[in-house]
This record gives sequence, structure tokens and C-alpha cells, in this order.
Amino acid sequence: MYDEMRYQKCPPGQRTLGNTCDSKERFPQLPREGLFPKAVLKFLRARRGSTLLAAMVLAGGSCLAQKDPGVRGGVAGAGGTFHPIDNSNAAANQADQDFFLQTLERFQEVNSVSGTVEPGNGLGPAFNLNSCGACHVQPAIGGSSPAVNPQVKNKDGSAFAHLDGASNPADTTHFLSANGPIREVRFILNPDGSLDGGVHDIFSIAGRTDAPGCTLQQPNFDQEITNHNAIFRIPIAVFGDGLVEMVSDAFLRDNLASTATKRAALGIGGRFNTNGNDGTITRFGWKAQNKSLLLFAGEAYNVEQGVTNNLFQSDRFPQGTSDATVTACTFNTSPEDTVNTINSQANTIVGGVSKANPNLNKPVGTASEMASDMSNFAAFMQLLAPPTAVTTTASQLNGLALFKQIGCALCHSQTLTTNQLNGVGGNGNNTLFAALGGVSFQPFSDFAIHHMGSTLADGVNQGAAGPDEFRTAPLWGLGQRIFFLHDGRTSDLLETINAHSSSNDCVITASYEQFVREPGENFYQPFSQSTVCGSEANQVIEAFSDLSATQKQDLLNFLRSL
Amino acid sequence: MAIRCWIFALASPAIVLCAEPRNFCQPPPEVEKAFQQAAAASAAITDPFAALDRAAPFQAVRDRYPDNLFAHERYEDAIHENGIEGHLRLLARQYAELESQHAGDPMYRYLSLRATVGRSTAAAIAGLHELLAKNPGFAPAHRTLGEIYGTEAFRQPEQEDIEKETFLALCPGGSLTRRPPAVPGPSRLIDEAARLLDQNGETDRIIAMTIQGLKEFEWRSQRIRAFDWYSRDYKLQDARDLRARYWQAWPVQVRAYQKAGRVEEANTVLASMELRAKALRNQPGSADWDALEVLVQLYTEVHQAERAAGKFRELEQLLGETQGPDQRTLRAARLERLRSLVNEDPASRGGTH
Repeated sequence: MYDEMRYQKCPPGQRTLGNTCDSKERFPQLPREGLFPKAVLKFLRARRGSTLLAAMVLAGGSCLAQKDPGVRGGVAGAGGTFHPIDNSNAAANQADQDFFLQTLERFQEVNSVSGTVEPGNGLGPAFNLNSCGACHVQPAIGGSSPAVNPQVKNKDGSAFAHLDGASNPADTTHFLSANGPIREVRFILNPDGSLDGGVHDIFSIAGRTDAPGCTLQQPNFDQEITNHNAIFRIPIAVFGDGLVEMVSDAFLRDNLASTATKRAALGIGGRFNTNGNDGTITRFGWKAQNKSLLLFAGEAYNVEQGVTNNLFQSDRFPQGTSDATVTACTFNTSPEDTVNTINSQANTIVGGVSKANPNLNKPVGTASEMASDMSNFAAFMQLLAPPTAVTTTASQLNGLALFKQIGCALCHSQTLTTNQLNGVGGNGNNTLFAALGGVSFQPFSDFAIHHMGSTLADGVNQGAAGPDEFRTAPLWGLGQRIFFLHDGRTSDLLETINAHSSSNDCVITASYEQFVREPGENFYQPFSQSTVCGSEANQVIEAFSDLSATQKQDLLNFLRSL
Repeated sequence: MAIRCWIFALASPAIVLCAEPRNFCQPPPEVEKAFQQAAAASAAITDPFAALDRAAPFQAVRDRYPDNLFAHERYEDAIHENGIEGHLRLLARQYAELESQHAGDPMYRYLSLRATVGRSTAAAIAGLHELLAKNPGFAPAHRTLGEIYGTEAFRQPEQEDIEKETFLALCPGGSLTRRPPAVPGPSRLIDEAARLLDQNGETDRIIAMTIQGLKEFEWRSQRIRAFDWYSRDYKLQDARDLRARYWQAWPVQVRAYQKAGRVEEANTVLASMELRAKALRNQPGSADWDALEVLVQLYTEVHQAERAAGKFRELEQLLGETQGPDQRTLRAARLERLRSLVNEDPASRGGTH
């Protein structure tokens, strides 16, 4: 299959394929056509238009009194596990609590290339950061991007780009800043014009003391940004994801179906991203592209830190890297993270207390100690309790009512319920996740994907999710988040809400099936196409705009109480 | 000696054409001469990490004599003598491809197995024995097995003698190579940087020397960890030694920056050491103790009395947890020396820093 995204600016309501709606005059600053792939130019035009629209919306709203209360202070309402995890008896529960604490330690392990300068090994050849816990940290481990960007500044105050002697000369100031969000970069198209969408890691191990001889260069981000071929994503908080994983497909489908009529009345669609092989719902990631937390962990470990593992076994070198560079930058056997047959954890946790591990370098240990890092990360996320909301004031409660009234809750579903487990001693005698069974929880998401229009579209396809489709972002924990939207473009809640609306720009995705007529001569035949104009949230945002300033403030106060 | 023959059955009687017999006992003089030139070219490369560059002259010889076993072997040796994980993977891939291109030719089967010696040696041994079962007179396989059985990791003296004798019977006057190839010696650059610091040397040069020294130690370690010539315990000890080198280099950096009045940079390195010391908690050996000692000394030197005292208290706590009377006594003595150091610091007596 050969996929090509086309992005077409059309008059409101008009759905047109082809180049019938030229809007060049609105974007005189655009580079000459021919320098860049056509799809990128079209994408850019539509986005510029949306930016203008968003700016107009904001300008119109700036005179109003309502204001984002900002990041909620006080204690982090997240970061712990379930109490109890296992209610069969106190000893079993303590063992499970210890297990969770061990997975938490592993989640925070810092990686280096060889495991000498830092305890974990396998970093690189390219990476975005060197620890899970470095990205997922606000307001507690498992969260999202912190106030000081660790991709820019190390805890010791030095530059992350040059940690341990690393070169990393590329200018990243266009998308990374000390007080900005942690980001990963994806390119929309490959140099040959075909769809890319993959992550291009920001940093290389070249120059590090533990990567002697490696000369791998960073991608040319400046060029990709100039070409409008780079988009960004920020880390997603993983609090409560064990519950999300435990919701059955049937429940999610029923939940979505239950609001179908109301959504249709407001022009809201919605569908699930699904696994191409078994057809089941995928639900993790900005576009709900990952099916399970294990898959999510394995992929992130490989993509974000460069650590090869049992699910993702290959080192990631940028396309076109020479054999000589690949050879010189390959330091460890693959996979770098596997199940441990020898216990290599110096610390263990007993009764909630960390101490020297008596089983170090022996072929025995706890489940956490013998499991791979990836499995530990998955278990950590599964056992990480959801954030605690503090929706108590009259304003917040009124905000919740308005949230439902204007239609936000049609996608941001307040309550979901997990599968009932077989119970203690049930299937497989696995009591570890007993706390996750039969639980109703408040993620404020339907975990479906929705067309968000050109204001948010990033041009990336992931699974069934197209260039402007995103998973309904779960709102739990939002009160203590600093950065919003998939690319962290804003820290302002009001701006975030407004970005849900878009002009009626059309996002056109055409999929082409490839045929080979004869050797060396290919042609492509249209296979399927879909066109969506505007954001599914437009009418809801209009309803939000129609609220009084006080009502809007109540709604903002409610959101910051989550 | 193997003889390669082609049978042409187009006409009767069948014609058997035999090519020049391949000499598997010693390289022809022109190849030997090419080796000498390649060795000189390889030795001229000064970059200690340029493994492919060092192997390139031997690769050129191989490319010039593509059917010569020794040309291949010498290239493989060049990779084994200089390479790390990535190079070993490349070598294994190259010879697996060559083997598939020359299916049924024992020489390429042998070379493919030999490419993995030192990386997955047990499998290579089994493969070489299988090869010999079909080609008992294939001398190079006996030689390689003799070499492997002579190593510490795969030592089997009786087998070594058998293979050696068989090889010498097939190739009188032949010789075996000692394996594994040497790893680079420990870098002296960090020590030299410390000496240069004492002699008031230039700061940036001192820093650069410590970084290069660490790279050389890392490279040495990579030359060990990729190979199965070395036991897991040996590799673990090597990794601990390597970590200790960092703790040797960082203080030199702190002192160099401090001496040059680059206080901010000194403090950055110190902060980084502080963070990394935490990860050493409960590591085997005395890594955590040693790191804390270094921090007490450095904080004292840069007159950060409170931090020095904090680290000192951590050492006291660690002493309480220390098992074994000998180690306890030793540590207690070291702690007393540090106590006097901490107490001597004017800042700890209410100094003005």
C-alpha cells in the first residue's frame, strides 16, 4: 500500500478533491512550490489558516474575565498504587506493594550506553531522554512533562545535549526550551515524498564517553521545520492506565454507542482505532495506536531511549545511515533488555523498605527483579493508581454540570468500568491485579478517535487514525498538568479548549493501492479516500463560547480540579 | 590439501578438470607480503577507536585475493583484534552471506564459523567438528579448534593436543595463534591529567584528557564485553573497574575547574557526581563507600562544609551497616582520617565561604 495525505483548503462546507480551491494569496510567505513535497505544502497552508482562526478566537476571548487557574498546587494527587492491591490478606498485599515499589524504581532507572556511567544500559544510538521517569514526572512519577525540561537541562544544571561528553550540535531551540514541554519529533513525509510519521530521535550518543568511535549525527531538524515536515508530541501521563487496559472492548463500544444520537446532533463522529491483526480496540497513545501497556512500554523503551527489547529488537538508526556508522555505534548485543536469568538488581524492597539485595548475581529473585525492564514498566503502569480529583467547590461542581450540558462529556466520558476479575484464586491464581477488577473510574475519555480538524491535525497516520484524528485525551489529572495538546503548544486551558475548534478546512486522506504493471514501472490506483472538514468539536466549542464568563470560569475551575 | 575439481559430462568419457589445489597450510609469498604492507598501514592509524579503518588494509588484501583462505582469515583477525559488538555483527553477517554464495564449499563454511569464534564460540566449536566429520583433512579447522581449546575460557588440554597434532601432521611446520587477541592496555590519560593538574596545566587540556581517558577505558571494556572469551564475573569486575575510573576522572575535573576559578563548572560536575553516587547504593564492592569518600574530600576542598558534613554522616551510617570485621576496621580508620579533614575545614567551623 502506498499512502499519501492530501490537505486541501476549501470554502466552508465544501468537500472538494483536487486543486480547485487555491488559497495561495493568503500565504504569501510560503516558500516556492517545488522545494518541498506537495503534501507538506498543502498541509502547511491549511495549518496557517487554522492558526489565524485560533488567533482570532483567542483575541475575541481575551477581554473576558475567565482565566485558567493554572496548575493546581498542593500535594500530587497521583503517583501511588492501589490500597490495597490485593485484599486477600495483609502479607499478600505487602508483597504486591513491594512489587509495585520495585517497578517504580525500575521506571526511574537512568540508562547509559554501557551501563557504567549510569546503572542502566542500552541507551541509543539515538534517543529522546535517558529514563522513563525523566519524561513522566509531573506531578509525580508516571505523569507528564515537568516545568523544567530535562531534555534541555540536567538536574545538575548542565545541558542534557552534552551529557557525558555527547556532541549533539544541532540547534533544537526551535522546539525545545528550558521551560517548555518535553517533546519527540515526527516527520510527516520521507524524503521521497512517501508517508513517514515515525519518531526521529533528537539526540545521538556520538561523543559520549561510553560511545567511543560513534559518529552518528542528529537529523537536520532546522531543515525539517523549515519544510514544515516536523510535528511534535509530548509525554502522556500514565496514571490509572491499568484500569484503562482492563476495560473490555464491548464496554467501550457500548459506551460510545450510548451517546451516538446526541453526538450526531452535534456533528460529532468517533470511532475506535483498532489492531490490524485481531481487530480489537487499541487505546494508548495520542492516536490510540497501542493495544497494551506492555506494547506501549516496549515501543517507548526502544523509540524514546533506544533500548532494544523483546518486543522491539532492533537498534533504530535514521534511514540512510551508513554501514560504517551503524557498525561503530553498535555497542551491545540485542536485545539489550530481556528477562533476567541472573539477578542484577543491587537493591530490593522488603516491607516497603529498600535494602541491599541478598540475591544479587544469583539465579533467583523477585518477579520484578527477574523480569525485563519493559515488563516492569508495564506492571508499574498497570498498578499506578488514577489521579485523585478534588471537585468539591460550588464553582467546580457547576463546571462539571456545564461540562456535561454543553456536550464535552459526549467524548470525554466521565465514567468507565473495568472487567470483573475471576477473583482471588481464580484464573491462574493471579491476585496481583485484583484491585483493577470491576472498578468504576473517571478518566473523562471514551478512548475513541475523533477528527479534530486542521487546527490540531499533525499529518500523521497511526493505525486507523488519520492526520487529524486523535484519541479523546483523558482529562483525569489535568489539574496538575503543565502542558496541553499533543504537541504541548500551550499551557493555557482556555487556549486548549479553543484549539478544539477549527475552520472548515478539509483534511483529505487518500489511500492508494500499488500495482506493478511490469518490472520497473509502477502505477497507483486509488483505493479509498476520506474527507473530513472542520473539527467534530466545533459545535461544542461554540456552546462553550456562548457560556457566560462566570460559567466558563466554573468550567475551567472544574477542569483544574481533576 | 583440498583440490577443487569440476566434472564435465557433456561428452563421453567424462572430463575431469582440476583447478590449482588450494593451499590451506600457508599463504603464498605475494599474500604474505601484502599482509606485511597491510599491517604497516593498519598500525599507522592512530585513532584508537577506528576499528574499521584498522581492518581496511586487510580487507583490501582479501578483496585482491578473494579465493585465498589466509586473506580471509587475516581480515577476520583484524576485526577480532580491533572490533567491538557492531564489528563482530558485521563480520558474522558478511561471512554468512559469503557462505550462502559458496554453498557446499568447506572453506566458506569454515570461514563463516570462524567469524563467530569469540562471540558464540560454543556453537562455532560444534560447527567446526561437524565440518571435520565431513572433511577430516581440512587443516584450518583443526588449527582453529586447537587455538580455541588452548584458551582459558574453552580450555581442554587433551583436545587441544589432538587438534594441534592433527593440524601439524597435515601442515608440517605450521603454527597456531594464541587467542584471544590482546585488548588495549588501561589508559594512562586520567593519571596524566591528574599530574598535569598538579603542575598547573591548562584546564581545558586536563578536562579533554580525562574525557579521552574515559573513552579509552570504555573502548577497552567494549573489547572485553563483546567476546565470550571472558567470563561473566570477569566482565562484571571490568564494569566495576570502569565505573571506578569515572570516579577517578570526575574529581580531576572538579579540581581543574576549581583551580581555574570556573566554579560553576566545578559545581556542575559535583552535582552530577552527587546524583550518581545515589545509584551506587548497595552495589557490590565498595563503590558507594568510595564515592562518598570522594565527595567528602571534594566538598571539603571547595569549602562546602555542610555538604561535606552530610556526606560524612552518610559514611558513618554506611559504616554501621558494614559487614565483616576487617572491612569495618579499615573503613573506621578511613572515616577517622576524613573526620579530621572535615573538622579542619574553616567553613565547618563557621567560616565565611
